[in-house]
Amino acid sequence: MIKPTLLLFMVIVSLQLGCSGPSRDTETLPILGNKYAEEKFINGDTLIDTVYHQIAPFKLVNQDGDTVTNETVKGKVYVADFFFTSCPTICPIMKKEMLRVYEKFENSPDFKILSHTIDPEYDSVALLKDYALRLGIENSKTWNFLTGDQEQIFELGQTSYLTTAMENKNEPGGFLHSGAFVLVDQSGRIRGVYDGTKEKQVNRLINDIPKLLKKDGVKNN
Amino acid sequence: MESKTISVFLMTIGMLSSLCCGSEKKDIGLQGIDDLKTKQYAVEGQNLYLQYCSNCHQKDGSGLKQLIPPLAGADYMLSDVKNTVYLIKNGIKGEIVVNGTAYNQPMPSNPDLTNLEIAQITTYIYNVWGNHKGLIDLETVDASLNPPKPNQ
Repeated sequence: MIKPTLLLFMVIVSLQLGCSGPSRDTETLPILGNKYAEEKFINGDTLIDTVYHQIAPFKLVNQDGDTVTNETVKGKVYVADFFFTSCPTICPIMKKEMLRVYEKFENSPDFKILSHTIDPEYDSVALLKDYALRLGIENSKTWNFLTGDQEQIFELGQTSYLTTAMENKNEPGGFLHSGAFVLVDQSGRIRGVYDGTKEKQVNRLINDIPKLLKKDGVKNN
Repeated sequence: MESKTISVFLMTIGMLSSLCCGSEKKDIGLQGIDDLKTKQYAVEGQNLYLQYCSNCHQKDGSGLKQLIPPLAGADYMLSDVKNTVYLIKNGIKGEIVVNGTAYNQPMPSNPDLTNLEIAQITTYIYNVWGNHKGLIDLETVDASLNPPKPNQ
Protein backbone atom coordinates (compact mmCIF):
# COMPACT_ATOMS: atom_id res chain seq x y z
CA MET A 1 0.00 0.00 0.00
CA ILE A 2 1.21 3.49 -0.84
CA LYS A 3 1.90 5.63 2.18
CA PRO A 4 -0.87 8.15 2.94
CA THR A 5 1.55 11.09 3.03
CA LEU A 6 2.82 10.20 -0.43
CA LEU A 7 -0.73 9.92 -1.76
CA LEU A 8 -1.62 13.26 -0.24
CA PHE A 9 1.44 14.82 -1.87
CA MET A 10 0.46 13.39 -5.25
CA VAL A 11 -3.06 14.72 -4.87
CA ILE A 12 -1.81 18.22 -4.08
CA VAL A 13 0.62 18.23 -7.01
CA SER A 14 -1.92 16.96 -9.52
CA LEU A 15 -4.55 19.44 -8.33
CA GLN A 16 -2.20 22.36 -8.72
CA LEU A 17 -1.21 21.25 -12.19
CA GLY A 18 -4.84 20.76 -13.11
CA CYS A 19 -5.81 24.23 -12.01
CA SER A 20 -3.05 26.47 -13.20
CA GLY A 21 -1.27 24.43 -15.84
CA PRO A 22 2.49 24.67 -16.25
CA SER A 23 3.90 27.92 -14.95
CA ARG A 24 3.04 30.59 -17.49
CA ASP A 25 5.18 33.26 -15.91
CA THR A 26 8.45 32.07 -17.36
CA GLU A 27 7.21 31.10 -20.81
CA THR A 28 8.42 33.14 -23.81
CA LEU A 29 5.68 34.55 -26.00
CA PRO A 30 5.61 33.37 -29.61
CA ILE A 31 6.17 35.73 -32.54
CA LEU A 32 2.99 35.56 -34.60
CA GLY A 33 2.29 36.05 -38.30
CA ASN A 34 4.07 34.90 -41.44
CA LYS A 35 7.84 34.84 -41.42
CA TYR A 36 10.35 34.17 -44.12
CA ALA A 37 14.06 33.52 -44.44
CA GLU A 38 16.10 36.24 -46.10
CA GLU A 39 19.63 35.71 -47.43
CA LYS A 40 22.09 38.40 -46.47
CA PHE A 41 25.63 38.86 -47.73
CA ILE A 42 27.85 40.17 -45.00
CA ASN A 43 31.64 40.28 -45.52
CA GLY A 44 31.40 37.76 -48.31
CA ASP A 45 29.42 35.26 -46.19
CA THR A 46 25.85 34.29 -46.92
CA LEU A 47 23.75 34.51 -43.77
CA ILE A 48 20.14 33.40 -43.37
CA ASP A 49 18.06 35.90 -41.45
CA THR A 50 14.48 35.24 -40.33
CA VAL A 51 12.19 38.16 -41.12
CA TYR A 52 9.10 38.33 -38.92
CA HIS A 53 5.72 39.91 -39.56
CA GLN A 54 5.72 43.53 -38.39
CA ILE A 55 3.15 46.29 -38.03
CA ALA A 56 3.43 48.47 -41.16
CA PRO A 57 4.16 52.22 -40.82
CA PHE A 58 1.05 54.27 -39.98
CA LYS A 59 0.11 57.88 -39.29
CA LEU A 60 -2.99 58.63 -37.23
CA VAL A 61 -4.28 61.29 -34.82
CA ASN A 62 -5.20 60.74 -31.15
CA GLN A 63 -7.94 62.23 -28.93
CA ASP A 64 -5.71 65.22 -28.10
CA GLY A 65 -5.09 65.98 -31.76
CA ASP A 66 -1.50 64.70 -31.61
CA THR A 67 -0.04 62.71 -34.49
CA VAL A 68 0.72 59.12 -33.58
CA THR A 69 2.92 56.99 -35.83
CA ASN A 70 4.85 53.77 -35.57
CA GLU A 71 7.75 55.94 -34.31
CA THR A 72 5.58 56.88 -31.29
CA VAL A 73 5.40 53.25 -30.22
CA LYS A 74 8.93 52.25 -31.21
CA GLY A 75 10.58 50.60 -28.23
CA LYS A 76 7.22 50.35 -26.43
CA VAL A 77 5.01 47.40 -25.67
CA TYR A 78 1.43 48.12 -26.69
CA VAL A 79 -2.03 46.64 -27.04
CA ALA A 80 -4.11 47.50 -30.12
CA ASP A 81 -7.82 47.11 -30.70
CA PHE A 82 -10.53 48.32 -33.11
CA PHE A 83 -13.85 49.85 -32.09
CA PHE A 84 -16.21 52.75 -32.80
CA THR A 85 -17.93 55.03 -30.31
CA SER A 86 -21.47 54.37 -31.53
CA CYS A 87 -20.93 50.58 -31.52
CA PRO A 88 -24.05 48.87 -30.18
CA THR A 89 -22.49 45.43 -29.68
CA ILE A 90 -19.16 44.35 -28.19
CA CYS A 91 -17.28 47.66 -27.81
CA PRO A 92 -18.42 48.59 -24.29
CA ILE A 93 -17.40 45.22 -22.88
CA MET A 94 -14.06 45.53 -24.72
CA LYS A 95 -13.54 48.95 -23.18
CA LYS A 96 -14.42 47.64 -19.74
CA GLU A 97 -11.80 44.94 -20.15
CA MET A 98 -9.25 47.37 -21.63
CA LEU A 99 -9.76 49.59 -18.59
CA ARG A 100 -8.45 46.72 -16.46
CA VAL A 101 -5.34 46.55 -18.65
CA TYR A 102 -4.98 50.34 -18.44
CA GLU A 103 -5.34 50.46 -14.66
CA LYS A 104 -2.68 47.79 -14.30
CA PHE A 105 -0.04 49.36 -16.56
CA GLU A 106 -0.87 53.08 -16.84
CA ASN A 107 2.24 53.98 -14.88
CA SER A 108 4.63 51.95 -17.02
CA PRO A 109 6.40 54.51 -19.24
CA ASP A 110 7.07 51.86 -21.88
CA PHE A 111 3.49 50.70 -22.25
CA LYS A 112 0.72 52.07 -24.48
CA ILE A 113 -2.77 51.24 -25.70
CA LEU A 114 -3.89 52.13 -29.24
CA SER A 115 -7.66 51.96 -29.77
CA HIS A 116 -8.44 52.59 -33.45
CA THR A 117 -11.86 53.79 -34.52
CA ILE A 118 -13.14 52.09 -37.64
CA ASP A 119 -15.70 54.86 -38.12
CA PRO A 120 -13.36 57.88 -38.44
CA GLU A 121 -15.89 59.94 -40.37
CA TYR A 122 -18.15 60.04 -37.33
CA ASP A 123 -15.50 59.58 -34.62
CA SER A 124 -13.77 62.95 -34.77
CA VAL A 125 -10.94 63.97 -32.45
CA ALA A 126 -13.45 65.86 -30.28
CA LEU A 127 -15.79 62.88 -30.05
CA LEU A 128 -12.93 60.53 -29.16
CA LYS A 129 -11.82 62.98 -26.46
CA ASP A 130 -15.33 63.02 -24.98
CA TYR A 131 -15.45 59.20 -25.13
CA ALA A 132 -12.04 58.90 -23.45
CA LEU A 133 -12.96 61.37 -20.70
CA ARG A 134 -16.20 59.52 -20.02
CA LEU A 135 -14.12 56.37 -19.54
CA GLY A 136 -11.97 58.31 -17.08
CA ILE A 137 -8.94 58.63 -19.37
CA GLU A 138 -7.75 62.18 -18.71
CA ASN A 139 -4.84 62.30 -21.17
CA SER A 140 -3.27 60.37 -24.02
CA LYS A 141 -0.04 59.55 -22.20
CA THR A 142 -0.83 55.83 -22.19
CA TRP A 143 -4.17 55.24 -23.88
CA ASN A 144 -4.54 56.68 -27.40
CA PHE A 145 -7.90 56.74 -29.16
CA LEU A 146 -6.96 57.01 -32.82
CA THR A 147 -8.72 58.33 -35.87
CA GLY A 148 -7.54 59.05 -39.41
CA ASP A 149 -7.99 57.83 -42.95
CA GLN A 150 -10.54 55.03 -42.97
CA GLU A 151 -8.83 53.00 -45.70
CA GLN A 152 -5.56 53.17 -43.81
CA ILE A 153 -7.23 52.01 -40.59
CA PHE A 154 -9.01 49.11 -42.31
CA GLU A 155 -5.80 48.04 -44.02
CA LEU A 156 -3.82 48.37 -40.80
CA GLY A 157 -6.38 46.14 -39.08
CA GLN A 158 -6.49 43.51 -41.78
CA THR A 159 -2.89 43.25 -42.91
CA SER A 160 -0.84 44.48 -39.96
CA TYR A 161 -2.82 43.45 -36.88
CA LEU A 162 -4.30 40.44 -38.69
CA THR A 163 -7.75 41.16 -37.32
CA THR A 164 -11.12 41.95 -38.87
CA ALA A 165 -12.08 45.61 -39.28
CA MET A 166 -14.34 46.61 -42.15
CA GLU A 167 -17.54 48.34 -43.13
CA ASN A 168 -20.54 46.05 -43.39
CA LYS A 169 -24.02 47.46 -43.74
CA ASN A 170 -25.57 44.22 -42.50
CA GLU A 171 -23.86 44.39 -39.12
CA PRO A 172 -25.44 46.24 -36.18
CA GLY A 173 -23.88 49.70 -36.26
CA GLY A 174 -22.65 49.23 -39.83
CA PHE A 175 -19.21 47.77 -39.14
CA LEU A 176 -17.77 44.31 -38.74
CA HIS A 177 -14.85 44.02 -36.35
CA SER A 178 -13.34 41.43 -34.11
CA GLY A 179 -13.00 41.92 -30.37
CA ALA A 180 -9.31 41.11 -30.49
CA PHE A 181 -6.70 42.72 -28.28
CA VAL A 182 -3.39 42.47 -30.14
CA LEU A 183 -0.19 42.54 -28.08
CA VAL A 184 2.75 44.12 -29.92
CA ASP A 185 6.37 44.18 -28.76
CA GLN A 186 9.12 46.82 -28.87
CA SER A 187 9.97 45.87 -32.46
CA GLY A 188 6.42 46.02 -33.83
CA ARG A 189 5.92 42.26 -33.82
CA ILE A 190 2.69 40.58 -32.72
CA ARG A 191 3.26 38.49 -29.60
CA GLY A 192 -0.31 37.58 -28.66
CA VAL A 193 -3.95 37.89 -29.72
CA TYR A 194 -6.66 37.81 -27.04
CA ASP A 195 -10.45 38.01 -27.09
CA GLY A 196 -11.13 41.40 -25.52
CA THR A 197 -14.68 40.41 -24.62
CA LYS A 198 -13.55 37.52 -22.38
CA GLU A 199 -12.37 38.25 -18.87
CA LYS A 200 -10.15 35.15 -18.70
CA GLN A 201 -8.36 35.95 -21.96
CA VAL A 202 -7.73 39.50 -20.77
CA ASN A 203 -6.33 38.06 -17.53
CA ARG A 204 -3.88 36.15 -19.69
CA LEU A 205 -2.97 39.35 -21.55
CA ILE A 206 -2.38 41.14 -18.23
CA ASN A 207 -0.14 38.25 -17.26
CA ASP A 208 1.76 38.33 -20.59
CA ILE A 209 2.52 42.08 -20.83
CA PRO A 210 5.22 42.06 -18.10
CA LYS A 211 7.05 39.28 -19.97
CA LEU A 212 7.69 41.76 -22.78
CA LEU A 213 8.21 44.82 -20.56
CA LYS A 214 10.96 43.00 -18.70
CA LYS A 215 12.90 42.71 -21.94
CA ASP A 216 12.78 46.43 -22.58
CA GLY A 217 16.08 47.73 -23.89
CA VAL A 218 17.25 44.34 -25.11
CA LYS A 219 17.52 44.32 -28.87
CA ASN A 220 15.93 41.55 -30.91
CA ASN A 221 14.69 39.70 -27.87
CA MET B 1 -8.77 2.15 9.39
CA GLU B 2 -8.64 1.79 5.62
CA SER B 3 -12.03 3.41 5.05
CA LYS B 4 -11.21 6.21 7.45
CA THR B 5 -8.04 6.96 5.51
CA ILE B 6 -9.98 7.05 2.25
CA SER B 7 -12.60 9.40 3.64
CA VAL B 8 -9.87 11.73 4.91
CA PHE B 9 -8.42 11.77 1.39
CA LEU B 10 -11.77 12.52 -0.16
CA MET B 11 -12.30 15.42 2.22
CA THR B 12 -8.81 16.71 1.51
CA ILE B 13 -9.42 16.58 -2.24
CA GLY B 14 -12.69 18.41 -1.80
CA MET B 15 -11.14 21.12 0.32
CA LEU B 16 -8.14 21.53 -1.95
CA SER B 17 -10.13 21.78 -5.14
CA SER B 18 -12.39 24.42 -3.64
CA LEU B 19 -9.38 26.34 -2.40
CA CYS B 20 -7.51 25.98 -5.65
CA CYS B 21 -10.05 26.63 -8.35
CA GLY B 22 -12.59 28.62 -6.38
CA SER B 23 -16.30 28.03 -6.76
CA GLU B 24 -18.60 29.73 -9.25
CA LYS B 25 -20.24 32.82 -7.81
CA LYS B 26 -23.89 32.14 -7.09
CA ASP B 27 -26.33 34.58 -8.64
CA ILE B 28 -28.27 35.66 -5.57
CA GLY B 29 -30.30 38.14 -7.60
CA LEU B 30 -32.84 35.66 -8.88
CA GLN B 31 -33.02 33.74 -5.60
CA GLY B 32 -34.34 36.81 -3.89
CA ILE B 33 -37.55 36.70 -5.96
CA ASP B 34 -40.41 34.93 -4.14
CA ASP B 35 -43.33 35.21 -6.56
CA LEU B 36 -43.32 32.27 -8.99
CA LYS B 37 -44.46 34.09 -12.11
CA THR B 38 -42.08 36.98 -11.47
CA LYS B 39 -39.30 34.44 -11.09
CA GLN B 40 -40.23 32.64 -14.33
CA TYR B 41 -40.16 35.92 -16.23
CA ALA B 42 -36.91 36.95 -14.57
CA VAL B 43 -35.16 33.66 -15.41
CA GLU B 44 -36.01 34.05 -19.10
CA GLY B 45 -35.28 37.74 -18.82
CA GLN B 46 -31.81 37.08 -17.50
CA ASN B 47 -30.92 35.02 -20.59
CA LEU B 48 -32.23 37.75 -22.86
CA TYR B 49 -30.46 40.41 -20.83
CA LEU B 50 -27.15 38.60 -21.22
CA GLN B 51 -27.77 38.38 -24.96
CA TYR B 52 -29.07 41.89 -25.70
CA CYS B 53 -28.09 44.22 -22.88
CA SER B 54 -25.11 43.17 -20.79
CA ASN B 55 -22.41 44.12 -23.30
CA CYS B 56 -23.21 47.72 -22.50
CA HIS B 57 -24.95 47.74 -19.12
CA GLN B 58 -22.74 44.90 -17.80
CA LYS B 59 -23.81 41.67 -16.14
CA ASP B 60 -24.28 43.36 -12.77
CA GLY B 61 -26.17 46.36 -14.17
CA SER B 62 -23.37 48.71 -13.13
CA GLY B 63 -22.97 50.40 -16.55
CA LEU B 64 -19.60 51.70 -17.71
CA LYS B 65 -18.10 54.80 -16.11
CA GLN B 66 -19.78 57.93 -17.53
CA LEU B 67 -20.39 56.28 -20.87
CA ILE B 68 -23.17 53.77 -20.18
CA PRO B 69 -25.65 54.45 -17.38
CA PRO B 70 -26.23 51.87 -14.63
CA LEU B 71 -29.52 49.99 -14.25
CA ALA B 72 -28.92 48.88 -10.66
CA GLY B 73 -30.46 51.47 -8.37
CA ALA B 74 -30.98 53.83 -11.31
CA ASP B 75 -33.53 56.57 -10.53
CA TYR B 76 -34.17 57.21 -14.23
CA MET B 77 -35.25 53.61 -14.81
CA LEU B 78 -37.01 52.95 -11.50
CA SER B 79 -39.20 56.04 -11.79
CA ASP B 80 -40.85 55.07 -15.09
CA VAL B 81 -41.48 51.47 -16.20
CA LYS B 82 -43.35 52.48 -19.35
CA ASN B 83 -40.52 54.68 -20.54
CA THR B 84 -38.04 51.84 -19.93
CA VAL B 85 -40.16 49.43 -21.96
CA TYR B 86 -40.44 52.00 -24.74
CA LEU B 87 -36.72 52.63 -24.99
CA ILE B 88 -35.77 48.93 -24.88
CA LYS B 89 -37.86 48.55 -28.02
CA ASN B 90 -37.09 51.85 -29.74
CA GLY B 91 -33.71 52.93 -28.42
CA ILE B 92 -32.85 56.43 -27.31
CA LYS B 93 -30.63 59.28 -28.47
CA GLY B 94 -29.50 62.40 -26.68
CA GLU B 95 -28.57 63.22 -23.12
CA ILE B 96 -30.25 61.64 -20.11
CA VAL B 97 -29.43 62.12 -16.43
CA VAL B 98 -29.18 59.03 -14.22
CA ASN B 99 -28.48 59.38 -10.50
CA GLY B 100 -27.17 62.89 -11.13
CA THR B 101 -24.76 61.97 -13.93
CA ALA B 102 -25.35 63.00 -17.55
CA TYR B 103 -24.98 60.26 -20.17
CA ASN B 104 -25.03 60.80 -23.92
CA GLN B 105 -24.44 57.48 -25.65
CA PRO B 106 -27.11 56.42 -28.15
CA MET B 107 -28.88 53.18 -27.25
CA PRO B 108 -29.87 51.05 -30.25
CA SER B 109 -33.43 49.92 -30.85
CA ASN B 110 -34.37 46.25 -30.51
CA PRO B 111 -37.11 45.82 -33.11
CA ASP B 112 -36.81 42.01 -33.07
CA LEU B 113 -37.74 41.62 -29.39
CA THR B 114 -41.32 40.47 -28.85
CA ASN B 115 -43.50 42.12 -26.22
CA LEU B 116 -43.25 39.00 -24.06
CA GLU B 117 -39.45 39.08 -24.27
CA ILE B 118 -39.46 42.74 -23.28
CA ALA B 119 -41.73 41.89 -20.33
CA GLN B 120 -39.23 39.22 -19.28
CA ILE B 121 -36.20 41.51 -19.61
CA THR B 122 -37.99 44.31 -17.80
CA THR B 123 -39.09 41.98 -15.00
CA TYR B 124 -35.49 40.83 -14.65
CA ILE B 125 -33.86 44.26 -14.45
CA TYR B 126 -36.56 45.53 -12.08
CA ASN B 127 -36.08 42.65 -9.63
CA VAL B 128 -32.35 42.11 -9.27
CA TRP B 129 -29.36 44.21 -8.07
CA GLY B 130 -31.45 45.61 -5.22
CA ASN B 131 -34.39 46.56 -7.43
CA HIS B 132 -37.76 45.12 -6.20
CA LYS B 133 -40.53 46.19 -8.53
CA GLY B 134 -42.32 42.83 -8.96
CA LEU B 135 -43.74 41.41 -12.19
CA ILE B 136 -43.86 43.61 -15.28
CA ASP B 137 -46.59 41.81 -17.21
CA LEU B 138 -47.38 41.60 -20.90
CA GLU B 139 -50.29 44.03 -20.57
CA THR B 140 -47.99 46.71 -19.19
CA VAL B 141 -45.62 46.20 -22.13
CA ASP B 142 -48.47 46.25 -24.67
CA ALA B 143 -49.81 49.45 -23.16
CA SER B 144 -46.38 51.06 -23.11
CA LEU B 145 -45.64 50.29 -26.74
CA ASN B 146 -48.98 51.09 -28.28
CA PRO B 147 -49.75 54.73 -29.06
CA PRO B 148 -49.95 57.26 -27.62
CA LYS B 149 -46.17 57.41 -27.30
CA PRO B 150 -44.75 58.43 -23.94
CA ASN B 151 -43.41 61.97 -23.96
CA GLN B 152 -39.68 62.02 -24.56
